Amino acid sequence: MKKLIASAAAAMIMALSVVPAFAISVNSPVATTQAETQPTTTNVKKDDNPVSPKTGADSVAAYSAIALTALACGAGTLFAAKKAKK
Amino acid sequence: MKKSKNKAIIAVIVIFALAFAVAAGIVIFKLVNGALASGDYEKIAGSYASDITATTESGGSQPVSQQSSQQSSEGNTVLADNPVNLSELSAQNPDIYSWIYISNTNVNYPVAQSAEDDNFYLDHDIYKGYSFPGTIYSQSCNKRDYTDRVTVLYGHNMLDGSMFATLHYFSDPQFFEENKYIYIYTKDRKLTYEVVSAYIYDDRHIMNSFNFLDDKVYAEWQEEALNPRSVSSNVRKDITLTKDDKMLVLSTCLNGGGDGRYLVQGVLVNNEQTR
Repeated sequence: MKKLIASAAAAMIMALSVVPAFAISVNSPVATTQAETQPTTTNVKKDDNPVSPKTGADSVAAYSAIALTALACGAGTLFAAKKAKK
Repeated sequence: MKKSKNKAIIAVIVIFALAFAVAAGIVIFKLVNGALASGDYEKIAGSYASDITATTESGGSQPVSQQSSQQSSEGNTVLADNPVNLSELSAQNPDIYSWIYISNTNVNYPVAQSAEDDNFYLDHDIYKGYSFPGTIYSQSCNKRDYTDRVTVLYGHNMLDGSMFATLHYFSDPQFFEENKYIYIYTKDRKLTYEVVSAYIYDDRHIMNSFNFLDDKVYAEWQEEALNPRSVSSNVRKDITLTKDDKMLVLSTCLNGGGDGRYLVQGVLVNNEQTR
């Protein structure tokens, strides 16, 4: 019996909430809470580096390697040649 | 014992020779890639902006005012010529959205902004292929219509003088004095920036380091532009800047390496609609 009364009351509340005059007085969170606007998501890989992009064209490392390796090769060859003479 | 010592020496020599070959290969690759890219950009400029020098220099040296619309004698609005076929370029690659031109320099290039990676065009050409000189580009923190208070464009300081290498001409006081303007063409606008100053700055990422929406921060940046702390700076004396001004910063690396950046800063003095 209690269940029947409860379900009848629930059905009445639901039916009344459909009527605008009653619905206004009901503080429905759905009706009053403004949907948050989501920022438009993009797939850009952001540059959040504190340092500016490196726009140099000088291949300092490569030029240094060329100089050093050339020097080492030359020195090694001279050393080997001297040894061979002996 | 002696033989094994000789073998060791030969092995060391071979290792160094290999390292030499690799380093030389890298340098040759970069030089060849750079030279090919320079040729490509000349062709692109020839195809899509062939009349830019004549058009820009005949009608663009007398800035009127911001948001200007020049009036003809009959009272009709006179639209500026747009010598750049950006529609066709952006049909090939939608990332291309404007064109930059500076008289008496090699700066005559399309400008791109990647929709995927902020630094994609640091080493990719406008066709999205690998290219050591890359493309002149901005990052997604800047709007494509140049309405931000500060817009930063990046370009390589190439040894062959291409990309933004000739920005360093502005370190010569006479060149600085004689070459006042930077021109940007979008699909429907011609923006003229007067060069305010050119100087060496540190390597901090400008857009990530300053909140230009803050009036105080923006005023300090403008103050820095008018009174740079750099020794080798050139500044145009008769310019005053306000919070309503829009600035363009061109950034490239220093000659001979180093951690700083060479900046050329301009202020928008003319914003014309084009036909």
